[in-house]
Amino acid sequence: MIKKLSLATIFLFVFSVLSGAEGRDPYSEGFSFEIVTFPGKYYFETYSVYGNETIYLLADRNNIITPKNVLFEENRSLNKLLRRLDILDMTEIGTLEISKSGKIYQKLEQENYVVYNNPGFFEYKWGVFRGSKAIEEYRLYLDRLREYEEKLQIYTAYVENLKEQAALVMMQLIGDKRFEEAQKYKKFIEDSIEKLHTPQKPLYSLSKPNAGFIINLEKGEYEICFKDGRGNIFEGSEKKLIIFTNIGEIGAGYDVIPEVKWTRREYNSEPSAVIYVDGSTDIYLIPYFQKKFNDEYFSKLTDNQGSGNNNFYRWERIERVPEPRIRISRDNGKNYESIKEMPYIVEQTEEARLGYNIIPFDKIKYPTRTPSFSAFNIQVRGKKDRIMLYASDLKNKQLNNSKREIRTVESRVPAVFFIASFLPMFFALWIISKKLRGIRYRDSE
Amino acid sequence: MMLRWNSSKILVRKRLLDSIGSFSFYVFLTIILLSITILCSEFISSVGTAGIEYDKSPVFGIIQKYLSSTFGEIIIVKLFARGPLELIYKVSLVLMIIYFSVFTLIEISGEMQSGAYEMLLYGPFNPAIYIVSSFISVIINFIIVSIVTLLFSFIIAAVSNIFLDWEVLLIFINSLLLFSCIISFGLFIAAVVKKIASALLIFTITVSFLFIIQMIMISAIYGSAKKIISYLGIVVQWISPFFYFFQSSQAYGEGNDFMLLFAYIALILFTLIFLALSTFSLRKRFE
Repeated sequence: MIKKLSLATIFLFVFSVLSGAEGRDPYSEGFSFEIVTFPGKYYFETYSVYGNETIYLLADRNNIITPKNVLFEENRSLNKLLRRLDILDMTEIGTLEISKSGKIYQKLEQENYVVYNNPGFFEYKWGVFRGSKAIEEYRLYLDRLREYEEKLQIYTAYVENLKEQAALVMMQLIGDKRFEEAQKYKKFIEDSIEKLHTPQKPLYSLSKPNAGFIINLEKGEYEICFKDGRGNIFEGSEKKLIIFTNIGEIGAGYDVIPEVKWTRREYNSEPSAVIYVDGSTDIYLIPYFQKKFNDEYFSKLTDNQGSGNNNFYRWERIERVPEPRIRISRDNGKNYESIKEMPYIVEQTEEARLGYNIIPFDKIKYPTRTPSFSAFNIQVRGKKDRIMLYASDLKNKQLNNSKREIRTVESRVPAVFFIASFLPMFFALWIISKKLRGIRYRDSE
Repeated sequence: MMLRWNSSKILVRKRLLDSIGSFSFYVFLTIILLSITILCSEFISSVGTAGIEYDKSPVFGIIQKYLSSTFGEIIIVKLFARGPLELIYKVSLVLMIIYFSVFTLIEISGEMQSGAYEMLLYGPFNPAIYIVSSFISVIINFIIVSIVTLLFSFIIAAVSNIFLDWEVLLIFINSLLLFSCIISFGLFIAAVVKKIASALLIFTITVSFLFIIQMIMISAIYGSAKKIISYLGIVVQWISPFFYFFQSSQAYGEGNDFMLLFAYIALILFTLIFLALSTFSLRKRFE
């Protein structure tokens, strides 16, 4: 009876705990810092949550922090608190205080900012305009955008008008059964439209002006808190701030694009690593600049609830190497030859095995199209191929940590190695038989 | 002096023959060679069109899943940057530590318990010769198995076109120093504890504890349990050979010669201390 009762109690306890956990409200309201950081490639946005007491930011960069009151949803499968709703932007009602070793280091007031993207030589070139310059730059950007839209409207109306008039002329010509002239006229109109100067959208783009606290600090450990006008600290705003930077020199990594799955790129970041391929297809390489960071710090920089390993470093790609060169060697590094970077176009075909062909981009053949990607084609020659390579810059200077090796492996380990693994067992059997013989010999004596 | 030197040589030879002549040695060697072949074979089957695709091999799929969930995805990038050989040597090292430490501990404790050691003392032996001879014989055993492992993996790598270089010798030196440290600790336990079972239990618990602490310290698992263990680990790691082994591997990767030298000195120092303690304990025990 007692046993049954205790079993029932345990069952009820477990059930109530489980049902309690299931029934818990997943939504909660709390203080959060919205964090916008720039590791080099583009801006990352993340947010602090209660329970995570540290914020990670980059040294000597404009990092933007915005205090907010938000609604969180607990996601058990991701084991994360997801920000569902910004209830209140608290930027205007207080100041951000940064301390170092217990002493106040900086008191920050809110500032206007815009984030810009200006693609030029490098594929991603981003930055921040601060204060009054932010507003001014945004106004200029809007003016240029408006100007573009106006030009586009005029252009579109002109083209439409031209097409309408041409249609009338064509109908007239066809009605008169002057088909050859109609064809010529059609070609003339099409050429005329193509020759027209199409208005170009501004190449750079700007985010909308926003207000926040811009943190630009040296490497080190700090503490931050958000205070209201009376000097009271907001609950949940006291955080440890780790400002870190990259370690050592800039290196080079490669995007590896296999011909058979051109959308599935693999990034090879480790210096002196070996790129193992099965040799069934050619590969394309794109060199990138990369920086070395502490794995945990970088993970938490881009996602405050992310996880990384504090004991290891990782290479993080920053941007494409401008006008790179790649030199390869097929004779164990004795002779290197240069290969050229080429633009390629992916053309859909019905005949091809893959459903597409990767072919060098020809501007005359495809005047209206842009290249799918630009890369270095490496021809891999079947099994047991070995190619050593490195990348260099515009001045032909070898890039740091850019050496790699491409190897194609055999399709399987020869069966003889499995048999050879059991060779020691023959010795073992020989030893047993020898020992048994010794025992028999002693017995017979 | 000459007599002691000769008797020491005889003891080393006897222990070597005992080990090499044992059935378990060859079973152990088979396990190591088979592990190398399977890992190389699985690695090859996981190679895809533009790199390693871990899902293609069930073994590497499990390894990748376990390691990345425990130590973070970065460990996979680092461990397999050049191929499977680093993993192979680390697996072999763990197997060698388990086999040789258990074998040595049973042998030495057995000699103490059976009175064979006391018999030896009637001859030209003393505790120092006994401990050093036992230690050297295990180290020679380790070197023999390591050479077989290296040769076998080198041949497979050459045939399959897997990357290999002489940097692997550094892993071998690191492993040798870690191994000597653990074996000297095993000798110390055998010298102090009277019963074989107790010695084996104490040794296993201590080494496992230090190993687990080190693994937790370098893991990417976070939470209150990790925090508590980290505080414990900060103290424990200074006396853990696994910590210095990890330090030496990391120092080499970062090109930090000072840290590398420091880790090596620490491992050698630990070995010498445990050898000295073993000799002292034996002397005290059989006074």
